[in-house]
Amino acid sequence: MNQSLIKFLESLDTPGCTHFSFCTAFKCIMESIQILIDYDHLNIWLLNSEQVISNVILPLSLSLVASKGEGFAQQLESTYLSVDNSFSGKTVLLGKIIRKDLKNEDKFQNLNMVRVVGAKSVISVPMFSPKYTGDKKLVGIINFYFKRSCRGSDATFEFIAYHVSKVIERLRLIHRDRVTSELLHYSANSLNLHFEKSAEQMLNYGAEAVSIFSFHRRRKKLILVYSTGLTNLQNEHDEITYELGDGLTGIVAESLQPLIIHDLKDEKLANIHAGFNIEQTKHPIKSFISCPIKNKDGQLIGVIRCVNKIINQKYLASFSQLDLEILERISGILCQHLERNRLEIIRESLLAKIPHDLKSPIIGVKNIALQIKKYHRSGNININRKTTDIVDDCNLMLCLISQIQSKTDYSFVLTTTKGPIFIKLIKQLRPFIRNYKLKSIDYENLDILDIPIYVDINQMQRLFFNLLMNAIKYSYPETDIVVSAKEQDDDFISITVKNWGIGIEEKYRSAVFRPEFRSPEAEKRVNGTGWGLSISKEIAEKHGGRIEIENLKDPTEFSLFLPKYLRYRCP
Amino acid sequence: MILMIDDEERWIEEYISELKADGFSVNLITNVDEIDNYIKNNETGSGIELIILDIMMAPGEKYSDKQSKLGVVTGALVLKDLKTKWSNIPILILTNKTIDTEMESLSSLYCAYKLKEDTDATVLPEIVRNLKNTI
Repeated sequence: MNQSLIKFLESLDTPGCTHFSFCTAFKCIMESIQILIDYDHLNIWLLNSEQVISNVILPLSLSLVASKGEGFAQQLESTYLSVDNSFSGKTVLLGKIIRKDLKNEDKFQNLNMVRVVGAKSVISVPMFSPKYTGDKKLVGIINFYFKRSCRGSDATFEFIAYHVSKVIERLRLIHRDRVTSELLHYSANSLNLHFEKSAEQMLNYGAEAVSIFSFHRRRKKLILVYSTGLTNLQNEHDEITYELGDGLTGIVAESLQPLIIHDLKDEKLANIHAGFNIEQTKHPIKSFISCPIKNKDGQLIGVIRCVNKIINQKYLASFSQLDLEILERISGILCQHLERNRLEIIRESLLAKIPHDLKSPIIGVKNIALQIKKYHRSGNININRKTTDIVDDCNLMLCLISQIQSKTDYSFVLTTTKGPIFIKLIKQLRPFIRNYKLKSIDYENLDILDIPIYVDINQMQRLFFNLLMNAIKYSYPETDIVVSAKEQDDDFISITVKNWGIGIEEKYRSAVFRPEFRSPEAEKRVNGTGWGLSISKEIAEKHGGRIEIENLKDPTEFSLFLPKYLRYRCP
Repeated sequence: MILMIDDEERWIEEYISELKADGFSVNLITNVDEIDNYIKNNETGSGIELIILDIMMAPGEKYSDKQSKLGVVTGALVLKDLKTKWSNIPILILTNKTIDTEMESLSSLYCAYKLKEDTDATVLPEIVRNLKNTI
């Protein structure tokens, strides 16, 4: 095996690899492979179970993600190939690989490397997900083309495919993280999109400029949230907030006049209705049409306003009537989005504030207890022990509040977490040890995880909490729980939780990961919902890891496997 | 002097008393609207060795509900404003809110992000001293 090739491919899988997009990563891969293997043409195809290309969802397709070299230009004409199409010409080799049973995803894992050697050689290598959740899944295909006979060994090509698949896995994780954070901003972005679409519609109907205002209920202000076409009315941008009632001047005042003619100071905002007026003083004459956006309770939540070109004043009334109807329709649609956005902000703030407000006083109590311990060493062992208990109980409460938080927050955001999160949780759960009359929770080697780790902190704490609580709840009294971490030979770190208790029967080995499953023995012993392990499994998989039962009884051993690359901060 | 910006006066008493017991002098701002005044009286930020800043605070008059996400990220806005005025004063984030992608993206503006639940009042002086030494 070419040592420099190994070195290079491994370098792609280290924290130094800062390639964000698939394209740049593949470009780098191809250029570097070229140095090591003198191919004439190379292309990399990725399998998509569901991908949107040009707004068309392609089920089970291979998309060409990268191609480099000469002499196979016609292949590049189509950027994707539907898997169950027949292939001809130079893509025939791809056809050979996928002809076996293309409609059945399960059979993808039986694909083998195909090698056609002659005056021109072509080598197609399937790429599989690297030791991922136990299933061998096809990720994509790499094709190497040589104008001459190629002497490289199968192992070299398979080795390249394996490492490229590892890079893909890593990119996929970064990509998903980005998609998730984009999703978090979804409401705000989609709102902008709706503003844009609504405004565009009005422009199509002949409006010269469109502004959309959102109404701030508490401050009684209209805030400009979107505007377009305001070339002549640029000064509107200077001041984006307009007080309702007092102080409306100039263009804004006049255009909003129809809306605010009723007494706004007297909470009669609900009586605002759509209307239009004409600005006579300026040349050319313009008309302003404004329409309130109201929610289903009739409360004002915003205003949409158009500046219209007037071609012939005689037709103004009929034109404007048409525009008003359209505006009212548009405002109805905008209302839904504004309301949804508002509720989303409230939901998010509640999700963040409730745990925050609960934690604050607990931290206060904990700090007081710590100060008592520090300054009032009375020599009375009981008081010292009691203050320790207060601190422990506070820590447990903080942990339980974090659990509530993670149960209500479904977002998945990877951030770099510093500090020993696993050791912290073990310490926080100490009061339970006494409650369940266990001896202790010991931990070994957890310091190998005591470096920044790239996870969704809330979800990861929830996973580990579930594993620990299962161990605590199902242990026999006077036994120990042992948590240990280990660097595996492959790409994973494992964290194992061992306990001595009721154990799991062989027939339930896979069932324990099913939602709502509880074994009869567990049912008798303690309360529970049966959701813990299924959720934990899902969280592990979201991080590119898995959970396995290593041993069923005496001790019962659950292992969490996390990919090593989570220990590196992805840029 | 350490400037502490946190709106929950009762729950940070212990942090302040521990810092004072360790010989630090501490000024507390509990309302974000007071920050502008404070800056006006001390344009250069002289005498301030470190700012300890909370994230979830009432947005006051200064920030809108939308900007501050109803107060959830007020501290992030304060952080940006403080850095434009007093670019050289190190800022320690001490909060109850777990770090999110937004705060992570601002990491160049603060020197450490600490959760209150992991940072006992009795160890805060040591953390502050270590920060001062590294800076």
